[in-house]
Amino acid sequence: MKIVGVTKCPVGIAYTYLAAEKLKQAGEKLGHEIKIEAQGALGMETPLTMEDIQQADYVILAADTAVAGKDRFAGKKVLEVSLQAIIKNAAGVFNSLAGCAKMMK
Amino acid sequence: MKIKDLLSKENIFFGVQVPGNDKKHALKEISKLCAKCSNLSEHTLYKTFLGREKVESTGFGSGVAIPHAKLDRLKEPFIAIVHFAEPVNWDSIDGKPVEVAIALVMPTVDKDNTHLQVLSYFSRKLVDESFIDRLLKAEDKDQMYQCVLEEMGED
Repeated sequence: MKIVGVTKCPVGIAYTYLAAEKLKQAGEKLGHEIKIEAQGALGMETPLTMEDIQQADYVILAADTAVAGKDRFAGKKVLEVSLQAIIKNAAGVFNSLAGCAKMMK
Repeated sequence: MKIKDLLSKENIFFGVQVPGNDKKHALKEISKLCAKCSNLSEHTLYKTFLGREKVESTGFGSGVAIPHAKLDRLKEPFIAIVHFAEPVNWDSIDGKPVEVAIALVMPTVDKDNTHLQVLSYFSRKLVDESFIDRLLKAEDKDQMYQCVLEEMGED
């Protein structure tokens, strides 16, 4: 499956990138195609394009603060989780997508 | 910009004792050591580190924590690595006590983002289990420094 996501932590200099990397590694290990937009202090690293979002089967929003541009995901199946959940068990987050992701209005 | 520009061997502290092995005392020790590496006061550093921990523990698991702070009046950004004599109860995401804390101290404004780029790469590197494993097995500050440089591809 193709899965896109956004990571963002309040300070934006550590967990944003750590969680992005965790998602990427865990997702690829499970055989998914992954693209993660890291919204850190550097601005957006590998920003998601409209095409990325259109093609995605699921969207993971991992943030302990408001994600920028959330309206881009209207009509997509979205799972919102804490950064903690990603850091603790990223594979578990992927495995819960089918059961827990909700259509964003 | 390289990791060497942010982390010097003098900023690695090995076998630091923490009264009671608890997180607040550990943050105090880290602040004291970071004050020595910078133009900031121990009090300012402590307050900022503690504030970040209240949002969410920076103990991200596997025995490592990354207390971090962005500060207005900081002249030079830096990384300090503190190895504890005894593991510290850090309220980590995986519940494990912390053996090594990597403090990341950045200025609020980073004009050309060069420091943040190194930091972003370094943060991503922390996901690498073999890196963490090596870091925790280091027996002194020389080994620790060498390990970071090699893993970051600078040696």
